[in-house]
Amino acid sequence: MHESALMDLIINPEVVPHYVSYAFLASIILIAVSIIIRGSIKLVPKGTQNVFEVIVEAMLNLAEENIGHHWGRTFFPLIATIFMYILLCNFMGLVPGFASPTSNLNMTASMAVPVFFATHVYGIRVHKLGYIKHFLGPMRSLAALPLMILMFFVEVIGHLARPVTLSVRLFGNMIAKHIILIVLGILTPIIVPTAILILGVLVGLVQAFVFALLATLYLAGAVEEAH
Amino acid sequence: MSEAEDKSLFRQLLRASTVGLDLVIYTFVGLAIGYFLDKFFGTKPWLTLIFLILGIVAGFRNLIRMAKDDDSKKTL
Repeated sequence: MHESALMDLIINPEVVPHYVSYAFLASIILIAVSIIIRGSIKLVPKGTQNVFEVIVEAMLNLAEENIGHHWGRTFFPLIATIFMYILLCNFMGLVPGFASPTSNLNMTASMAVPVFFATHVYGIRVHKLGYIKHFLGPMRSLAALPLMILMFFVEVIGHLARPVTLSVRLFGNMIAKHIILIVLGILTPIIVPTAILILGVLVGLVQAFVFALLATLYLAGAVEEAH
Repeated sequence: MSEAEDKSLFRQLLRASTVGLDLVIYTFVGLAIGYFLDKFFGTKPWLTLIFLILGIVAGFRNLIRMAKDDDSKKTL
């Protein structure tokens, strides 16, 4: 699949594929905007600072309500970064001349795998060896040992499937929107693809939020006490 | 409906929207683990079957746990 994009002027897409160059562009945009806002921060927010305060506050609320005050603050940077980055990547696919990096499975997996590792690193750091209790199901007795072994395998499959579901969901939604746009662009006049573009804005926002929400819930499950 | 309830409902809707894909992928992850273990140990078809069933169990366990989880308590 070869499409022309604005980044082709700077970077040869044969060497560096679109999803890599636009992923870097997204991070450069985020860093630049953050530095600009940081330089002109005011008590009464205005314009761009207002938008970012709304996003950051929503993410802080999400983290603190689901994880708790102490660990919520610890995980907030990871969750908020992932949300803003995915949101920007999703919306980049809607702008002509730009490609959306999240419509490639490598890109989404590169965000889901760190969440997977963060979950287990913090789980082990908080509970030490007691972290294994998270994998043994609700029953604790010698008679229930076969059931505990069974639950261990079930839980391990569940944990291994998490990064797969996270990455495939985001990738599937973005590539589906992309393909629908291409097909309808060939088949129909201008009104129908526009309607899909509006839907694309909604899908991009919802999928970014779902990714952040699930990452929050997974991290919350790792640091809370085993039940 | 209050604003807090509204927010909780929105989050639960988003979580519910993930169930369909989760159920399928849990099954396939179980199948894949079984398939590769079978290749490694040379015990075709047994581990594939066992882990396929375990994957289906894991998918439904995830579904049931999500349905039982009371999200309304967590939201202020």
